[in-house]
Amino acid sequence: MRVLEGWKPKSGVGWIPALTLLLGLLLLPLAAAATPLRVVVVGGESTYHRAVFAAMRQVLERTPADYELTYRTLEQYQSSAEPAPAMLVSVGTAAARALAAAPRSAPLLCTLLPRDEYLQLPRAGAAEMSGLYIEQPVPRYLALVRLALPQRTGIGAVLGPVSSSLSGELQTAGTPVNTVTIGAERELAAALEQVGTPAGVLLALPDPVVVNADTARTLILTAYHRGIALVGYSQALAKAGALMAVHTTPEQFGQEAGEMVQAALTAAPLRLPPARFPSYFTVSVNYQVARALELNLPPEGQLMHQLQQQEAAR
Amino acid sequence: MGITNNNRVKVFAALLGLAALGDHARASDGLDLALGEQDFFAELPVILTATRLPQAVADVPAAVTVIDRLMIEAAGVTDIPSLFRLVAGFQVGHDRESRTTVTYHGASDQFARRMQVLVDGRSIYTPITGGVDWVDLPVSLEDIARVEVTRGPNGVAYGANAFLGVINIITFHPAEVQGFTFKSALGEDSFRKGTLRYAGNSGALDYRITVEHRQDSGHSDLNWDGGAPKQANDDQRTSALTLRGDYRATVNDYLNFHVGGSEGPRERGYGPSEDDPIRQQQSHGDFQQLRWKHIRSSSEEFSVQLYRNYQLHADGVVADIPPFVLGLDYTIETERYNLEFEHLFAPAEDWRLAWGAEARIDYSRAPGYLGTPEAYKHNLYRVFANGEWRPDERWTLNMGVLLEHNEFNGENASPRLALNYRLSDDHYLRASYTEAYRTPAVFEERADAAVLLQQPFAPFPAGTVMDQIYYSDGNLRPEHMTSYELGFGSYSATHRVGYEIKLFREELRDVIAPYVDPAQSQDELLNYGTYKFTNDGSTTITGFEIQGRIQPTDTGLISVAYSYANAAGYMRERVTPDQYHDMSLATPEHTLSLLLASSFAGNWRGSLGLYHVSHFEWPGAGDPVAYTTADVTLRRLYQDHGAKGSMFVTVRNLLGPYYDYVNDTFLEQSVYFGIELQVP
Repeated sequence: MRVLEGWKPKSGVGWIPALTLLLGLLLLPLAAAATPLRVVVVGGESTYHRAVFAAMRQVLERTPADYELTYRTLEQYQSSAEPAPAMLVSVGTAAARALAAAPRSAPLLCTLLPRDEYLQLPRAGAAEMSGLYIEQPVPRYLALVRLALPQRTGIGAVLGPVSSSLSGELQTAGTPVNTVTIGAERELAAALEQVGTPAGVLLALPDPVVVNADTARTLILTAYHRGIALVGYSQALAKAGALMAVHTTPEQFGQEAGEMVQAALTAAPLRLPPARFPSYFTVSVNYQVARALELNLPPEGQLMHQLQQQEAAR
Repeated sequence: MGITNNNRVKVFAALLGLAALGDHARASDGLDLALGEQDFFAELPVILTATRLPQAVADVPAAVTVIDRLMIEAAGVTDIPSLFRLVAGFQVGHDRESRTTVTYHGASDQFARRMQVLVDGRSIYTPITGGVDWVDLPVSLEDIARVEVTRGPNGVAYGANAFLGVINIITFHPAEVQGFTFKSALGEDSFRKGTLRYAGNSGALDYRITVEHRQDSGHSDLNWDGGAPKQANDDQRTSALTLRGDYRATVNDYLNFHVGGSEGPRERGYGPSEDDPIRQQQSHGDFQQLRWKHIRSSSEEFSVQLYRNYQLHADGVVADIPPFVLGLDYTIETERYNLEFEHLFAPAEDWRLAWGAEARIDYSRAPGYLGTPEAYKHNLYRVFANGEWRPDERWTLNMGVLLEHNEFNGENASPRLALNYRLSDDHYLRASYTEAYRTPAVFEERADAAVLLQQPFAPFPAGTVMDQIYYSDGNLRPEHMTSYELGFGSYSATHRVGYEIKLFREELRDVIAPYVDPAQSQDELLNYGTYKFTNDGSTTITGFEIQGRIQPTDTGLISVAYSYANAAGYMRERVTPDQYHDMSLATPEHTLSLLLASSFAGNWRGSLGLYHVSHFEWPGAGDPVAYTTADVTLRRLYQDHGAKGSMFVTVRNLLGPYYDYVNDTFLEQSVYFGIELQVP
């Protein structure tokens, strides 16, 4: 534990210094409360928002520094008149938009928001800002496909208004992806016909027009009936019937956000790491679907470790 | 989504007694286009469920033939039973009075009692005769997405009566057929058929409604009165309405309801006689079905299903044959209530398990057949479990057991064991052993059919038995079948080729035989003998079958089904003196079907179906049957502004008249024209 400035325990032996030290230790929480590193996490009410916070707290509790980590919903934060914290962390898009738009003196780490949202945030405060994006980087999907389905060529993706920004990156990737962009849900079936190579791979990338509770049926059934391996970006997709998904859990987001906060606060001068895609991720395989497609996939953990190794080596 | 639309859904849902609609219909068309964290963490409906993820062909414990929409269109059939000619080893018979019978490996009469028939999971065989009334069936051919036929007993999955095989008719999910569809066909023999369907979607509810009218003047009797052709007395007219709704109550809870009804007159009677005059039987059938399904993952789901089937055939004859006035009541009324529960899950990575329970009440009222004006109530209970163990990539072991309790036979247990081995990615071997039971039909167990005095004839009061026609002492044991199968198959999705060769041996024991007892029964005034029922028959059928399918393109198809069967056995036909029916005659040695479909330039499509059955006799009908016939369909497709349509012409029975059941009911060459239009 880092001893607070002003506490200079005397060296030497004897009961007085020992008692002083003991007293000091007992008083420490009180004393620390006066000058802690206050980190305020602002997010929504959802369980995954809370899970990000819980994981951040676990990371910061394990470190020797002393933090006071508090969670506030956006309404609570905006209506309170607390003194400015050492750092602000937003969880989710709504919190990021509100915090970025308001004047502030504390640095802001925006987590759990799409990269495009982050890039469009207003830079109202003078203090620095960084981000931990909610999406996976495109090369990660492609690396997973190469690793798990080396025999499958012909990768396609249906993009929507949001994901269309990825089309350049997808087409020039090491493994080029055949894309088609749609503007409305009703165009999905025809688009799937166009890009879904039978016995190929289809990437389901985050876009509310392409993947939602109403389009899941068309997307998943079309892929399944044509023997296409559907690779998605969320655990829900893998559970719903995609072959597999690469995604970051709220706990992993919290872990990484905690590490970013810690890195920032221990740096002198205080400096946030640059905005980035999540480095921690999970691979979820729907083995029932794999079996139905007659695919024999390695265990999820193995895929994840191999991907991590590949990324580390790069 | 507009407010009015939403309100309409709510009213609709409320009318159907569904729970209040939640607000999960998301604003998908432009209101919320931003990506949010809910897109990453919110639950999605599980689409590929355990029931949607069937076993790979190579792991299936039984021989299964799938008739899909491509085959239905190519076959150009006008009735559902004719489709089953495409299944290896199946025979279809068109009997008098527009009765149709479908059986596997022969050995059946006009009421094919040994087959389980399901429509969307609803068992439709009639409890009284055990057969299926195909003409009344409130299912439009146009609503059928696919038919899965299990060739062989599958009591373990479908209960007693899944004895020779299981026909599982699966209709379109409303989401698959959105929009308006209209189809109409006209043809010879006064054939008229029109089907109108609308399938729509409102938020979490997908629904479809289908109305259909079909009528024809039936078959011809080419053996009437010295060979002069004559229309058989089997005109029929049916109007049917079905409504299906699939409602997503929560992200992974589904309510499915299905209601429908059909009615219409059927011409009956053999000719100008007092006791069997030409007349109209009034038929009515309806059903209601409700299912709740909760999906937990791709390997686990629960479902609870409740349904009711009702069927009424109102028919009777009062024959004035001086000095008597006689009455024959042919009315049959049946009602079935069925409640079932099923749970599918994967207890371990290499195991999949399905278990469930079912309770059924059948009411049968048939005064003229059962000798009582009261409805007879029959209860049945089942529990079943089916496990699939896949210790490695090559081996799959399927085992299951069904325990059934019914009022006729007490308890019986049907086990099944099947072992599959993959020789390579595409080839597999299968060996299976199954036992199955068939519970006696109500009529077999309880028959009491007699010609009664309609008016008193001194000194006999009205109701006196003139002649006992059928009588059953009851106490019948269930029929028992042991089946052994060896299968070799190949399936390649990439090459779109699949075939299977199956060697089989089926041992039917305790066969329930209707036999003639010439003895005078206690009360009857006249005696022409009485039909009774006893477990006195045994048949062993051995042979092999080939079912194959090649689909070189999306619209091209070659489907082959061939069965070689050799039957040996007997079934009691008469007592004093003892006579036995030779069951080797009751199964055709060769049954062949070939279906070819292809698309041609200019949006033309053509298909040819060829069917051959070698000599056999349906027990009870008595006439030797053997035929080769062919149907041809030519179709021109149109597509414009999102609407799709076609015009088609079908020639059925191209090779001339033949009969497939009895020698006074001929199927003649006939031409049909039709149009079809789909507007999304």
